[in-house]
Amino acid sequence: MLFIELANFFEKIERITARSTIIDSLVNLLRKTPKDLIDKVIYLIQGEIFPSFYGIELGLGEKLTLKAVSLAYGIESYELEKMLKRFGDIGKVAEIAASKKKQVTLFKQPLTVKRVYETLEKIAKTTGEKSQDLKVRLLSGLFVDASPKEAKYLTRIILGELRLGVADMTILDALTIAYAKSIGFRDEIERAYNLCSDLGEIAKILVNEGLEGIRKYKIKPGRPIRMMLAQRVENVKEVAFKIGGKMAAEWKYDGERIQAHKIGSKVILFSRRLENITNQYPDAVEMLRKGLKSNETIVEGEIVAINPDTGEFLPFQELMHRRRKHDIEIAVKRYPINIFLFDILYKDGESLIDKPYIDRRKILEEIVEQKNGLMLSKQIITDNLEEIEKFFLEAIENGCEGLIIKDLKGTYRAGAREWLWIKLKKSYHSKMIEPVDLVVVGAFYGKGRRAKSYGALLVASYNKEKDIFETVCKVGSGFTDTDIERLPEILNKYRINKCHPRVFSKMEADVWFEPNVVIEVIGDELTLSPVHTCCYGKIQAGSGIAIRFPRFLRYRFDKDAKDATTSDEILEMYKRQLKKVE
Amino acid sequence: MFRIAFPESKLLKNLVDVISNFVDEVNFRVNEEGISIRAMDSSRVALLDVKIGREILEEFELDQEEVVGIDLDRFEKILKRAKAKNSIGLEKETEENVLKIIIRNGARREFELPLIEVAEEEIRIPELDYKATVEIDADYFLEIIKDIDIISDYVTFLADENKLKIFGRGELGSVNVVFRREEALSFEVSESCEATFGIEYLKDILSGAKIADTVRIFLGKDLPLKLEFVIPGCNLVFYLAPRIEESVE
Repeated sequence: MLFIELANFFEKIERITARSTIIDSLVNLLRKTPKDLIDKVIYLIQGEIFPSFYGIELGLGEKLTLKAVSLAYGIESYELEKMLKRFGDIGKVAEIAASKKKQVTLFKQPLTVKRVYETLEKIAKTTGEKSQDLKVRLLSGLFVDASPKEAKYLTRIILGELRLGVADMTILDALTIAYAKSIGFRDEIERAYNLCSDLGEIAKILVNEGLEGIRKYKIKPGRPIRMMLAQRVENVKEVAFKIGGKMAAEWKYDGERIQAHKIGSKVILFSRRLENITNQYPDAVEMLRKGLKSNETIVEGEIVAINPDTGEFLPFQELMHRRRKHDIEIAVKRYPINIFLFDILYKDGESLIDKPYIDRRKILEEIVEQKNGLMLSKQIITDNLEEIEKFFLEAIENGCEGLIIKDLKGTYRAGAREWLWIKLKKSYHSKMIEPVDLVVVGAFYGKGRRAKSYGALLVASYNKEKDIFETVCKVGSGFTDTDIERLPEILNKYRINKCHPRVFSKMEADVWFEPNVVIEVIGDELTLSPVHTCCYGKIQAGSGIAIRFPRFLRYRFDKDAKDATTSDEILEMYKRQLKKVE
Repeated sequence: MFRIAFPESKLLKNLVDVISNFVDEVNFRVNEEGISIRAMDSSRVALLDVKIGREILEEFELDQEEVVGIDLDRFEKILKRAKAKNSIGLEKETEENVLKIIIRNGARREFELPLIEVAEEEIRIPELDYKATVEIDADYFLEIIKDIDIISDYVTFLADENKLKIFGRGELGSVNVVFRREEALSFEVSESCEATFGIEYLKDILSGAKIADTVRIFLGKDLPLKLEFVIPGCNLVFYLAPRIEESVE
């Protein structure tokens, strides 16, 4: 099969938008494709060389690609760079360069799909000191024989800029029509695809083994299963319409969802987009290797960044520090994580996805040794909506996004977004735009570097009417090392052995103080909380107002406890900033 | 196993010099007919086909065909140690992976060159329908290329029923060389034709022209140039792809 056939197909697809026409063209192309190339052609249509979960990269950026173009067509690199500035499209630059080529070759060897693919494979596998040069030469060899159009698409494939916009489901449709005779077999083919996330693999099985092979297809550890997704509702009441009776509610952690495959002592991590992210979390790999008591298993969970001193959750953004190729050890130390597992899909040769959720959770509980930061997601099973509501507020206040409510009988529907899982997120949001002054009424012992001091402080606002102090949040972030060292010295003189009579707290602190020291605190937002007592019951029965992701700013030694921000002021702030979440 | 010897080093030295202009490493194939070498430059623009007949070798002993991969840079360094009139012997034992190079000038100086694995791509010699064949003195050819080199990066060959014109044009002027039908050693033109080539490649072949008596030039419109250097006991054929001004759009 000639590469130009593929290039012509790309060109055609770029011009059409009607899905049915795209499918027709795809079917034509697939029917022309020889058996041994079918998976490769599918990957190339997807603009990839290998499925992304392999985690294999070509190692060719824009600069090296231009170098290969320069070498092949005898055009100086700086001229190509000028062209790139003008057109902004490196594919176009390669196309023009190829058309300007004057020196022809003795043996124009037409580019075949096989040759292109094998050369790209070779480029990906070339590593080591001199690899850049060799990669460029290999690529240049392809350009030499490429027509302008081929050069354009080759460049786009190499740089991951093909972007034909042919959806997976469209390719599945075309595969069904081309090889399964009837569109009625579409669901069976999709089922197999959901289990391996690899359209090339599915095409290969279809071509070589037909529908029989597709029907027999089983989960293979190492190949990601397309993740089950959740539908969304606005409030708890809606959940009851979708899932009746008892249901499971789990904290929806604000972290990175992973699917972990453990094969013997090897652990592979896939992201929500099924990219191989194993290298970003060497600590997670270690935790899972030690904590999963099963030889071969596939589990799902959430990786959450934590504050090492307090054990509190940090927002998802903190995990971005792990998106790097070098010095990952430094990021591991500085931004530690916990893992909260919530599902198991496969165990020692047996697929578990067709078992009810409640059974899967039981199996998961059996094989997970909860220690060293590896845990199961926090869960309750109930049919009481009020209890769920309370659980929800607790999750939010602890830095979670909300809850995932699960049907106890629900199977794991790979790749589907259905009502078996429902996510409950905040529908209102009250942004915190100014700091408040709060009174320290209690404290919690620290961990790690803070073992000798306090890890977090329980702080309260002043309720003028009742002349009491009402808790607003636990503050563990924002302190410098010196701040932390000074905490016992500043606070211990006010230490008392139980909660102060004028402090209203539903939380049990490790240490209590007489309300005296005032600190300035800012947070991301004001949120409802079942555990904090500020404005208790004023917005919603059974809830107070709390600060989410609070941070210490400074001490306010100039202020007395009664000069602290009042609960009424916090209520006003909450109301003023309350907005519906889009 | 083979044992061969060149009565003089000059032929081998010049051939290796030409080949090394196009590739860094190459396979020498030794069989009943002699030695053959085929090399294509990495950009696939030029191709060399060399055959050295056994009749010009002083010594020729061979039990079976052997293919030896040679690092040309190292080989050339050794060959440079021989003076033009020194004889050169090449020997290889069946099981061994070294080539012995023996320079004789009274004393026997023996070098051992480790052999390398050279990936061989099957190279087909193009069969082309040439419209013009003109044979001229190899020395003239050498001078013409040197002339044009000072003016232009490109050389155009133009043949019609009366003449072969070789010329170059550049920013600094132009140079024209004309061989009339009667001035050429042989002249056959069935159709007038013209083609242009990069001079760098032609300069790379000049060491071959030095040891040749005559050169046969094969031309066709925008076809690869074929040059056949006539060297006693040796056949050196050179193919060079043309430059073609493609109109885009």
